[in-house]
Amino acid sequence: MVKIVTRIGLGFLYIITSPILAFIFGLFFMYGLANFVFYSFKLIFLFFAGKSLSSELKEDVEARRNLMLMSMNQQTQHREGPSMPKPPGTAS
Amino acid sequence: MILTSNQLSPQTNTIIWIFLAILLAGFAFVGLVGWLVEQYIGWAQLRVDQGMSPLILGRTVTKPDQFQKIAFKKHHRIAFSEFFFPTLVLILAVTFLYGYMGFMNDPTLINELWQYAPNQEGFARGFNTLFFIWDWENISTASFFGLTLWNDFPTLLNSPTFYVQAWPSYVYISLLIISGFLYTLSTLALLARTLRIYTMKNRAFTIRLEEVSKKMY
Repeated sequence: MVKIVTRIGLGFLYIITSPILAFIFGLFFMYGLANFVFYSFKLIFLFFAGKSLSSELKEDVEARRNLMLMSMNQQTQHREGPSMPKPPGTAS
Repeated sequence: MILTSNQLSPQTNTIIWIFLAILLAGFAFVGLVGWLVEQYIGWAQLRVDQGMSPLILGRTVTKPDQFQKIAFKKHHRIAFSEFFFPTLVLILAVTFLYGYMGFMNDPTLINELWQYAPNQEGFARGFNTLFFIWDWENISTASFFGLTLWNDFPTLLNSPTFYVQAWPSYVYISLLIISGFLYTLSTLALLARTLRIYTMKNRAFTIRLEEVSKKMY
């Protein structure tokens, strides 16, 4: 019951604030369209450069490599047990 | 002057109750639509989490500014792919309309896209032929406590009728509606992801004291 009353209240709030919401929505629509036009041109340049928009970012590749190294380290530690600090002066 | 329900006639009372019920149903409907939009926004925000969590776990992103830069790069790519399909449908619709008018040598179709009244040949070619159309402009009104309110049902101008001759309008307007719906979803997703990036930009790198104390004690 409380939920229904809250929803009705929110419905009233949405109607009252609808001009502002519509304005924000319009701004984001324009932003989306501008982004679409910009990326359409960028796609053409990327096509002639032999690249594509779906290619991975270099940060993604780096993150995947880091995650792989971290999981390998964890597996090694799990197999060998926790590494003990070596006493000072010992040859490695 | 405040009127109690005893001072009003039963008919006026009924009208007021019906008016209130319609008003509440309207608010409830808008609230329900708002709930659906909230759910969709919540779902759309997950794409930021999906795209950025491996970068944080892999220690590639360590600063809020770096997070914002990469998140927006990914966000813009997703937005481009989301706006692609509705734009394609829109281009298809406009090409279809102008192609039809050109091939069939029928330039008047553009003025009849919403027409519902049959012409001299006995058919209409607009999309509105599929709907009930009422004459809201000439509805009879009455004065009620200083307010001008409707006091009768509007005249019915059109009942849903399918005209084969109107198929170009049906196709064109249907494509426009699909395109508009997809644009709305894409814009909402764009809004949702932008909000999520600005919210998570600092939060993703903030250590909460409650969590620290939970780990310590």
